[in-house]
Amino acid sequence: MIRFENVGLRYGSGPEVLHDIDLTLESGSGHYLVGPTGAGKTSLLSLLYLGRRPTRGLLTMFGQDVATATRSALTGFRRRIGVVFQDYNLLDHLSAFDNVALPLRLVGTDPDMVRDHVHQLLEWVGLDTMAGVKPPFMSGGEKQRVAVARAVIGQPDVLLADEPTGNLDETMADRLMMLFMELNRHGTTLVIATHNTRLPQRFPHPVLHLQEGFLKAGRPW
Amino acid sequence: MVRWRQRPQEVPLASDPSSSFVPTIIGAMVFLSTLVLGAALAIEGVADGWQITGQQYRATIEISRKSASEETVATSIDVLAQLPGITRVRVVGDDEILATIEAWTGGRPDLELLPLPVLIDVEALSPESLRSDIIEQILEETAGAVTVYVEPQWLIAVRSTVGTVQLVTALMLVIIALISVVSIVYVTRTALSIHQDTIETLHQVGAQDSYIAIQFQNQSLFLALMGGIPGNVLAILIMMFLTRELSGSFEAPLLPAVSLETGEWLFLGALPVVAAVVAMVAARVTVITSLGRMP
Repeated sequence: MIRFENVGLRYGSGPEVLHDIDLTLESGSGHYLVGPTGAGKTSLLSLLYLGRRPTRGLLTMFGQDVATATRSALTGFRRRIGVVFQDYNLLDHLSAFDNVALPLRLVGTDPDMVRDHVHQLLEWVGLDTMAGVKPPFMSGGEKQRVAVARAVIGQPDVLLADEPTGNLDETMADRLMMLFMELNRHGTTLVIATHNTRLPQRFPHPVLHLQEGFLKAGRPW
Repeated sequence: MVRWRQRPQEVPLASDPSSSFVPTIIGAMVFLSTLVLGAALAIEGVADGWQITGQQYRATIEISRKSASEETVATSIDVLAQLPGITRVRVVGDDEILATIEAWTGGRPDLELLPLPVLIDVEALSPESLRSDIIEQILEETAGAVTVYVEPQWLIAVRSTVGTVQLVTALMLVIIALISVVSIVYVTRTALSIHQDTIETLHQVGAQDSYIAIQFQNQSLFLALMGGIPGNVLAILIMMFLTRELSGSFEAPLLPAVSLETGEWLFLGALPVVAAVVAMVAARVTVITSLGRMP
């Protein structure tokens, strides 16, 4: 479903930050993406969520070469990808409700259905009483839960999460991971970038190890 | 049942500095264009009153009714129509002649009792085609002695001035429109830069460029109307005051009044809508073009 062949990425005219990435993510698979800070995890995720296009090599997604896909096709792909960003990327001027509702509204979902789904999901992440609160008035953990709710509300084919449990206590982290695993069981392809060595042990999945922009075999620990 | 729900604006444009800049610039531009266009329409109205509008030069040929048989008139028209530069030749109808002199005679006179000539109106593209001596000489063979009245030089000069004024007006309107469009493009680009993070997030969750563009174009439309309507109202009030003052200041009844017709006032009143639509389109094109360059 997602295939990297000899992919490289550089920002502008800077040095290459990802080198010769060869990787296949089958539909419905689950992987952890691990590596030290600066190894290129966020860059690899940015290729996966189509925030950037590779500067060399071939990246195919949903059967299409990303480099040659039209903007309209890319928008269609992005709607099939849910992303939990490390810094949440919430819209500060919108309430938690409106942030979570965004993916559904963009595809023209019925407002009543949007309301029901959003409230259900906010309740699930323990933020039902904070639906009207805007991100600047939330803690890091609360923002992270809103970001997770926004990423999963559209039942994406691919779910990418950059340190999704970084600001959460163990109970809430486990709860979100169980949600991710449940989505994975239902066919969502999962890639979780993390420093947390506990997660792969508690919720086992193959590990992709990035180091200095290269994909290495085996776990770092 | 149709229900209206207030949707949040995903790109928070309302809090931008442009919220005050756009109404100010569009208000000023609509104010100026209303005055310029209003003045042009008023001048054209006055020119209409003097019958000096259009690009044609005119002459009127008088043929004595005694020597003007139908055949003579028809032949004269044929001869005139074949002269170089002549674009139109027509016989002025009796009703038209009688209506013209009615103001002096105090009622519709009997054509048989008045020694009125047959009148032929000739139009040409240049004054050189309407030299009275040449026309008199050519028609002498077919219609005998005729009198040719070519519109005077001062009228030609006035016509030229009116044409220049219309051209200057058109240029000013183009400049005003360009300034407005450039301002909107600048403001929109600035807003795109300010909200780059928000736009990237929207793209990431699946927003199409057109979805984002709608937010910018709606904001431009709204702000342009906010500025355009007051600017337009102010200019129209000034125009009303001036036309009333100027109309009352001329005592000579032959001078046409400086005024605008209802349709022209409505046309001027529609300028804020035109400006708002231009602003909306400019914003949309700017956003679509700029976003098209993003990955």
